[in-house]
Amino acid sequence: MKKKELISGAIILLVVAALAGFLLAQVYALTLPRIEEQKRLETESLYRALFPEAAKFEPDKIGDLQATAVFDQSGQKIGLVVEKRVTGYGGEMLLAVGVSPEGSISGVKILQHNETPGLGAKVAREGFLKQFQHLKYNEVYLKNTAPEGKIDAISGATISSRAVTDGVRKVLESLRTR
Amino acid sequence: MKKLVNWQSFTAGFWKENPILTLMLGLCPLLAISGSVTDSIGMGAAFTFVLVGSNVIISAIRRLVPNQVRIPVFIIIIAAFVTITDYFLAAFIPGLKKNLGVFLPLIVVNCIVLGRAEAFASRNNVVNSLLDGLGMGAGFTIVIVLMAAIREALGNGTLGPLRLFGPHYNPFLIMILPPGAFLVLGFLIALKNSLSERGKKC
Repeated sequence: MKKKELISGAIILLVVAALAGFLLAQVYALTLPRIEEQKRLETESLYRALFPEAAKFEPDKIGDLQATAVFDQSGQKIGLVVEKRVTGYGGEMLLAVGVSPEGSISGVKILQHNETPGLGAKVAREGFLKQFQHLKYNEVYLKNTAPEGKIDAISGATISSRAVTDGVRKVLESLRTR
Repeated sequence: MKKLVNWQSFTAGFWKENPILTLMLGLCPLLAISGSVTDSIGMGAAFTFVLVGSNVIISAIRRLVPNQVRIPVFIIIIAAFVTITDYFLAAFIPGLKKNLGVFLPLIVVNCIVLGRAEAFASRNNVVNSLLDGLGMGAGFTIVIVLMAAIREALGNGTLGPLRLFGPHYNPFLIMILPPGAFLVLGFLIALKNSLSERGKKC
C-alpha cells in the first residue's frame, strides 16, 4: 500500500513537470523572436542616441573591452561605442562610451547601475553625462582632482561621479594605446 | 461554506484577509517595488495573473495530487506561470521587466501565492479559487499602488507621468529610499487596524 502511494506520487510529479516543461518550451519558442527583436532595438536606440546618423553596426574589440563600430548611411565609419564595467558606490555599473574617429567623446550613457536613488543615481542623467561631450582624454578628470579636469561631480555623490569619470578616461586611454 | 460560488472568497482579499495588511505576507516585493506607481501597477498585474492561474490549475487537479508530492507540484505550477509572465514581459514590455528586475522571478517563492495554493485552492472548487485569486491579487495591487502613490508623491514629487508640486518642490527623499517603504507600510497597517477596531466597537 505504502509503496503504491509512493509510485503514484512520483508519476504525478513527473507528469506535471513534463507538462509544465512542454508548455514553457512552446511559450519560449513563441516569444523568442520578439525578445531578440526587443534587445536589438534597445541597443540600437541607445547607440543612436550617441550617434544620431548611425545606420549600421559592427562588433569590434578594444583590448578586452566589448565595442561596436558605427557606420552612417554611406558606409563611412563615424565612431565607436565601447562598453566598460566600473565599480561605483552601489556596485558594478556598465558604461557605454561613444568615441569619434578623432578620439574625442561624442557621448556617454549608463546602461546599468545600482547607485543610491536621488544621489548617486543622478550620474545616469543627461545633466551630468553631457559634460563629457567633445572632451579629450586629458580633460576627463573631476575638477578638483586635476587642473585640466572639466567634470563637475554631483554633490553628495563623489564616489559615483569619480567611478564614471575614471571609467570613461580608461576607455579613451585604451583606445590611444591600441 | 461548500457553496459552488461563494462571493466571500472574492471580497476577503480586500479587507478582512488582505494579504499584506492583515496576513502580512509577500512584503518583499511590496517594499522593493513600491517606489514607483507605474512599476507597482505592473507588479500587481503580474502577481494577480500568477495567483489566478496557479489557483485555478491547482484547484482543478487537487484530487489527483497525493499529499506527499503536493508542495513540489504546486511550486512547479507556480514557477511555470511566473516564467510565462517573464517571457511575455520581455517580449512586449521590456521596460517593465527591467524595472521589476529580480522581483519578477521571485514571485515563485512569494508566500501569498503558495499560501493561497495551500490554504485555499487545494481545498476549494475552481470557481471559488478563481475568485480568491482575483480578490487576493486585487488586495495586493491596491496596497502596493497606494503605497507607491504616497512614496512617489512625497519622495519624488511625481505620480507616474504627472508632476505634482511644480518644478521647485524639494523632494522628501527618504520616502523613495528603503526606509520610506517601512514607514509607509507601518502607517498603513496602523490605519487599517484602527479602522477595524472602530468597526468592532460600533
